[in-house]
Amino acid sequence: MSSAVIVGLLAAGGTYLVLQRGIVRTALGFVLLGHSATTLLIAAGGVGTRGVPFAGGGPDSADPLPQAFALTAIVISFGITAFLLALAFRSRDVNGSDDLEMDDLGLEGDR
Amino acid sequence: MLLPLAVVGPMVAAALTPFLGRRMGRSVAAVNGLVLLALALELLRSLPDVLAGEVLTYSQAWIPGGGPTFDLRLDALALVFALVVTVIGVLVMAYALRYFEHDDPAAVRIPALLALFAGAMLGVVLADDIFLLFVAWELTSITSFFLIGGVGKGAKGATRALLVTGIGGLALLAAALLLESAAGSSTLSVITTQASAVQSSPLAIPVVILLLLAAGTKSAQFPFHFWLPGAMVAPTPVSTYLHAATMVKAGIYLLLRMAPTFDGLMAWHMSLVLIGGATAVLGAWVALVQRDLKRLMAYSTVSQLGLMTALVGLGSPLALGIATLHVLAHALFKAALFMTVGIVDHETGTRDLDRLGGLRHTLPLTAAAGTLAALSMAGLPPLLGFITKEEILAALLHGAPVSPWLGPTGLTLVLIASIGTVAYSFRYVSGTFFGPVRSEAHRAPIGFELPAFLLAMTGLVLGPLSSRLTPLLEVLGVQLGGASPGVKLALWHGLTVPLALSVSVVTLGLIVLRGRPRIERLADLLPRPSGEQAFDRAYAAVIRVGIEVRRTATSHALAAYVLPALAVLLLLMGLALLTESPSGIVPATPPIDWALILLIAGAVAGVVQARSRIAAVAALGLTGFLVAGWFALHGAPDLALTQLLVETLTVAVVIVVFRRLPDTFSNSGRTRQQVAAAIALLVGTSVGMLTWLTVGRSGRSAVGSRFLVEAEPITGGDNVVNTILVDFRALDTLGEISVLLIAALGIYALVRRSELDPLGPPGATSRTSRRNGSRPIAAGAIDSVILGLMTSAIAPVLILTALWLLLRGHDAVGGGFIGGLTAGAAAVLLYLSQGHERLWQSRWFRAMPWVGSGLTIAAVYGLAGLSTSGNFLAGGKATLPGGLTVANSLVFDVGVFLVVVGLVVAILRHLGQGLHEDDPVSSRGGPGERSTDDAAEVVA
Repeated sequence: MSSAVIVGLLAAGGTYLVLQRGIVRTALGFVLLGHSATTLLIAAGGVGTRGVPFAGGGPDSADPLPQAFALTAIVISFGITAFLLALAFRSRDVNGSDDLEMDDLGLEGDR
Repeated sequence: MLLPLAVVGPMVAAALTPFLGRRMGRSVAAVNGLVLLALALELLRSLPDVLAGEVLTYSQAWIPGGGPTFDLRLDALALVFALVVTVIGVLVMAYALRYFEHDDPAAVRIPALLALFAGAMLGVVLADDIFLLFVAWELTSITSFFLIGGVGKGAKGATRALLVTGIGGLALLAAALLLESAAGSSTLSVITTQASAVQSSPLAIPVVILLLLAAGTKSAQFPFHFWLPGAMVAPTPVSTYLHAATMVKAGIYLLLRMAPTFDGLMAWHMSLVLIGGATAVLGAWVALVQRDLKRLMAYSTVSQLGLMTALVGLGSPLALGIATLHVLAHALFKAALFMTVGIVDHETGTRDLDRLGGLRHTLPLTAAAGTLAALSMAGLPPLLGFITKEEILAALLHGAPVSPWLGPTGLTLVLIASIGTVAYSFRYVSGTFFGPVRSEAHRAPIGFELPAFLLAMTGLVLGPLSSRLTPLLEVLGVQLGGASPGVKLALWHGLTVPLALSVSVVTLGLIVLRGRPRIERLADLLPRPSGEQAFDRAYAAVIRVGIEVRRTATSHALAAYVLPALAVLLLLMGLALLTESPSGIVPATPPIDWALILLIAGAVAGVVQARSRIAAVAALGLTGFLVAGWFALHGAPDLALTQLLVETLTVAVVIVVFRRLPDTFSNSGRTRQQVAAAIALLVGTSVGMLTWLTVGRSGRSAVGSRFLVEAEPITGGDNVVNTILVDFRALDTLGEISVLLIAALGIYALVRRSELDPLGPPGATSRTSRRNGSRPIAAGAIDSVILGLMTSAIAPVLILTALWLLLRGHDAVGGGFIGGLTAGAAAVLLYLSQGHERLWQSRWFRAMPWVGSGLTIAAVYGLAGLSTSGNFLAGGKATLPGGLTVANSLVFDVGVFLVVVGLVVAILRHLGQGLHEDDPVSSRGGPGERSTDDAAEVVA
């Protein structure tokens, strides 16, 4: 039950931020969405058994497979966050702001 | 073996031409000519067999699994076309030899493309699979595009030609698919035997329409004829070969090939006779009022193609057979005519009839060739054109088997067209070669004039020898029309109706020629609907619609792209919520979880609400730590540690970037905030409910349980999560660290160039602060003695810890990811205390060596395991000197470690630049060098 609430909370926060202006807030939103997804992965492994999944662990051991998925997912989210921030950085250089909606997409140049 | 060689041989020659051309210059055309000559001679050798009714075939599986096959087939129809392609090809290559200047790049490019085209065209006429025919057909369109010009002054004509024939190509593909479904086979020789099945199928009429579209665009039939005169910007060898002799006949070939299948279908016969007849009349009379010789010839070709189309529509054995022979006759005289036009243009510098005249004195051989060819076109004895024209009239007089009025209709149209043909043929001869000399002309080298002369002479020789062609006509009639045409070709049949018609056509033609000025004045009064203009208008309209469509789909706001995706997501989740019912028991929630939830809710609210970046980042870090706590509670210490480290690094990275950005977020409008909040609530609620409904009710997965039991015996590692990462699912992990590599490369590519606009130079304010009126948080190194001291103490400890975490990861909490992140944290500390400049020069502070070596080590180690044991990672342990036992997969984990460190270094190096007054990139003016260094690193 707790996992469902946490997944929902993080998803709501992430969605809200992704819909805002500016790449930085979008990046923050992605971080929250990432948390939401990893939490969901762990929850999928079951939240009833909470032992550390080491060899020789008893019947109380948690499921190690979702943990392995989640671990790489966390690191990859970090890579994506860094990339989004690089975009924000670049956008500031080009447009003077990380706000995409101030950006001219060049449509007017078309014929 | 001849058949595949005929298709592939010229293409190989084309591929070799540029290399040979470097040495031989324009003489390379001779090599391609010899290739085609060899093919022509081989094809001629099979003539007796083909006349005896034999068929050569070749079959080769092409796309496995029952798709189209590479089937080739040489029957009488294919042989006539293949001979035209090769023989005219030889002479065009000979002509091109002298047409281009020595140093003209086109002297090599054009023969190469012509050879490629010859291979494609032979593919069209030899293909026995309709999809193979389609592929070759498209290849001819594409080579035609490049031969016409593609870019430069030919671009417009080339593009029109490509688009028009491209539409036809698509129609052909559609027709091929429908035909295959109607006939049950894509093999052309089988489709021909399925005539009744095809005609009774409801697909028959759509197929006919599509085939008409394909053939009509390719063979320049009304209303698509306009691309052919427009293609005359091409060099003359190209016009001669593609736009007179061969490619434009591909449509006629297709119609002839399909004639047996649609024989008796009224729509087929009627549309072909009407379209062909109309095109013949239109082409002939427009040709009459042209001043440019090449355009005159182009319209003449349009007219002749119309004549052939009408004959195919007539559908009698004689009509089909003589249409094929007329393809041959037309190729001979029209190729000769184009070549003479090219010579005239080359030696006088003009193609304008009003400025030409009397050239028989300076260009006698050309004049002879042009005159003979034009007389053949006009249908005068004793030339081959006369023989075919006589039989064409005879076929029209006989009429069509399907309808009594098709014959007379066709005959009327063809007679009107023929009067025009006679008039413009004589006009070309008299206006160019006879009459007063009106322009200066050079003498042409004999080698330049010879190909045209040979072609014209062939027409002259074949006329009296036409009885030798009777067996060919016989075979063609049987093959295409199912019966003998019952005609013997000869110069003199006695006083017949066709002869009388011929005489009157020539007489009327000469009268028209005399009255041509009056006709021209009349033509000026008539509105001339230009297909070109209509096409250009349609083209521009399509482009405009495209821009409009894009405008609606392109927004400045990311939200505009996210919202549709969210809407679909919500819809799917709603459906799932309605249909899913919970099964299994949700485990009880311990009270500590609820406490955590409250904290997380507060932290998320903080991130969402924060107006200043620092507050948002602080709240974000708090959220991450709390989630890490949740992981720890759920028996995932590795995850918790990873999450803690990532969160720390994220905060650090955001701080680094935020120093380049203003303090506060730009405001979203009130409405947007409300809408976003509503959507976020909907998404959150749905996601939460679905999670509750579906997830975590079934307990541990079977495979998870297996790993818990078997991980230690198989891999020797106690930390099951780590063994999954580096042993069981190592290939996945390799993919995941590749993603990190891509992220590092992306950062490098995006931010490398920002050095042009550094924040830092003393006294300068950044564009950001000017524009937004807010000051970046800090522009210098964090200059703190305490931090410096701490760093020198902590950083080595952190690095040692990182290595220790890496080493023991297989058995306890740790591993490559966690160790790499810890080392990354050390790098951040160093960065903050030492400043960007010092680290910039350190060779340890370059991202690409880290990332590249890490990925290489992981990949090589995995592949080594694959080659020795058949598994991507083999597992097993090794004992190091000193008694320390480590798993072999540690090597793989080292690779992971290096990639993660490299990503952090990439972030600090590239996102962190330009922050300091004494930054090398802003004050030394050496960013260019540095960029090159970096580029060299990437390459290395």
